[in-house]
Amino acid sequence: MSEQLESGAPTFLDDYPEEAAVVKAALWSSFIALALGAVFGVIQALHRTNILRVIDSADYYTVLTAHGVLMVVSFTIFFLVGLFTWATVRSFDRGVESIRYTWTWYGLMVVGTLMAVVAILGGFVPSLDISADVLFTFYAPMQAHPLFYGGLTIFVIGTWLAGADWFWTWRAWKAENPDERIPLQGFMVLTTMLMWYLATIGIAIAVVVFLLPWSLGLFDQINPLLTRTLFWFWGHPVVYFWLMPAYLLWYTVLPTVAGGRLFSDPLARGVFVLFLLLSTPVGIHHQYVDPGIASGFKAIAMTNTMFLLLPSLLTAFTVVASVEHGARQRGGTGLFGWLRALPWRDPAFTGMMLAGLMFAAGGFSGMINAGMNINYLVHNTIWVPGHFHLTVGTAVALTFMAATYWLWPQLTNRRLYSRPIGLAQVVIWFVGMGLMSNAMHVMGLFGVPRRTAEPQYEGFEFVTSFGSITELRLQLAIGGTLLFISTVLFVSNIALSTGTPKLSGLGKPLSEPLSGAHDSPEILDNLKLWFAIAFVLVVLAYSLPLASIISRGGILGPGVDPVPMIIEPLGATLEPLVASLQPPLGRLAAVVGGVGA
Amino acid sequence: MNRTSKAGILVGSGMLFIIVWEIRSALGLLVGIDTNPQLYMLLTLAIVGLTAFALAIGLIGVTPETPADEDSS
Repeated sequence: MSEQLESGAPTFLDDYPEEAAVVKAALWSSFIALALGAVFGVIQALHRTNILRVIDSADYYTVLTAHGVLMVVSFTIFFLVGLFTWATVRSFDRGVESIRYTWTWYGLMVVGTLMAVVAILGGFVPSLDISADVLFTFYAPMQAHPLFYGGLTIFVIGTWLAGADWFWTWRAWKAENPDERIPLQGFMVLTTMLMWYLATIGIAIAVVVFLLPWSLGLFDQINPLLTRTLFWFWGHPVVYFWLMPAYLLWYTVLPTVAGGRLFSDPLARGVFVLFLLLSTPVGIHHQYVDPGIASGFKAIAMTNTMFLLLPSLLTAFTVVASVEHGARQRGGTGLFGWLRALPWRDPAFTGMMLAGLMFAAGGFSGMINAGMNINYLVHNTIWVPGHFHLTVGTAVALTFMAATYWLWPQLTNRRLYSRPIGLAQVVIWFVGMGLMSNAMHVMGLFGVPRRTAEPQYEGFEFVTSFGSITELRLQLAIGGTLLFISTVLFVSNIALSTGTPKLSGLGKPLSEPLSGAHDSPEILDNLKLWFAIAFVLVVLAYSLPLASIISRGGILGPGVDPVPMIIEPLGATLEPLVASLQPPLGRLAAVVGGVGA
Repeated sequence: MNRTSKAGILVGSGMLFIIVWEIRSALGLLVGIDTNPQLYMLLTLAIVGLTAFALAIGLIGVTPETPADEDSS
């Protein structure tokens, strides 16, 4: 491989060594979470398929919670804060205002993560009175140890402060450049954080006002539908919090890696504005089967969700157009012949392209999930994890890993340990996810449930229209194993890269868009306006459903007991029921007996 | 002779494998054809293997378009 790796340009580390240290720390935190999450992931995949069982089924939810939280909270968001710090500093071409402040929010995020992880892993130690087997979807009636909620709160506060850090940098830049348009990467960072501030209102209220006091014993009961609704107020936009950094990479790094230029800066800005406006007022589409929310509110959420397809489709067009431009710059010709001229042996490029391809498939299965009627077919089946392993599990995760191959040398002044291993790693991820996700989607259509250690249901056979459940389980297990191998290759490759010799000139400047910021209306940069509209949309989407839930159930009622609480209360509930049913059943038996005689 | 880079063969093989294997699900779910899983897997691997081999020896494939592609095999 003799492709020119050195541009001769200074790297991010050369220009901003203090900020590069924070970015590296955040990325390492992300990769550690990824590695741990992958271990729990493969344990889970092999356990529920009954291929290999190294844990007791009673511990399954501890494993599932650890996998979910480590992957979609720690891995993704630590990567995001690292990437956004890089993007902010790079695009405004100035360091952060206070590196001590930057380390503070990073430290808070680490502390929060450790608290939550200790609470989760405490579930493995029965003698400890600590557990948080509440899954990533940690709404009531599932109850965790206060340490878990406290950790999440501190983690989210860390992200708020991180956002404030990037806004601070922007304000300082703007004071010196009052007439300049916000650089594209900076714009993407700021709009994403505005969306995050809006979205986290829901989870902040759910955790701080309800779940944490409830777990501390300050309340006997809380309204489960209210906490579910507040969770999903945040739970859907958090998907875009994972995705928008991937979009940032697709818009600003991928065209450069492909040898071209972004097709349209204005279109990219428009897409991020649309995400800010539309990401939050859609969460009720996760609650189509929840009683207590009127169908009309669900229909509104469905309509809003379908609008969200627009920015994704715009992105598909813009990114493919930009990549095609790169291919033609590299000498590609023909209607499809240009595809041959792309740098497929660059793991950064190939990984991001494969991630985008899988995202298209995830978008289609997402449309099924978002459809109010057809959702009933797949709700709570393993189809749903099949879907989000394509979106966050590939579009986001694979893009982050691929982008690391591009970014890491600029943060360390060291070459990647092995680009061929990197290429193999992204292809293995693609194949592994293709197998696992396909099996999950198909099994979901056959009714196989999600979130269970024992989907075998002894004495019950799922009816398949082709093949067998055994075959699909095997396919899921093979896919999950390949994903684990891919993760090991990725983390090892990055770890081994720390031992490669130091070099200079590894900087890789980003190309300028074909259609720049000045081609777009200035109103796109009016962040206050877009935030205000986004806020109004959220108020419109949520005020009536929340008022309805509270007026019927009360702020803290009707309430349910926390789980686990199955056996004793169930017996206590059934006893009077059985007693009350005895007389009519006796009469019925007498009548039936009389007829029979 | 046409030559395809090792990277191209690797990436293409991965994609071809997924596409051919998922056609089995499509046949089963959409058309109701229940193909034999073992036979279908062997067929999938054969298609991918033969395609990769044919690309590697230059039997099929494309002419490298850029100098960067030339040196990758």
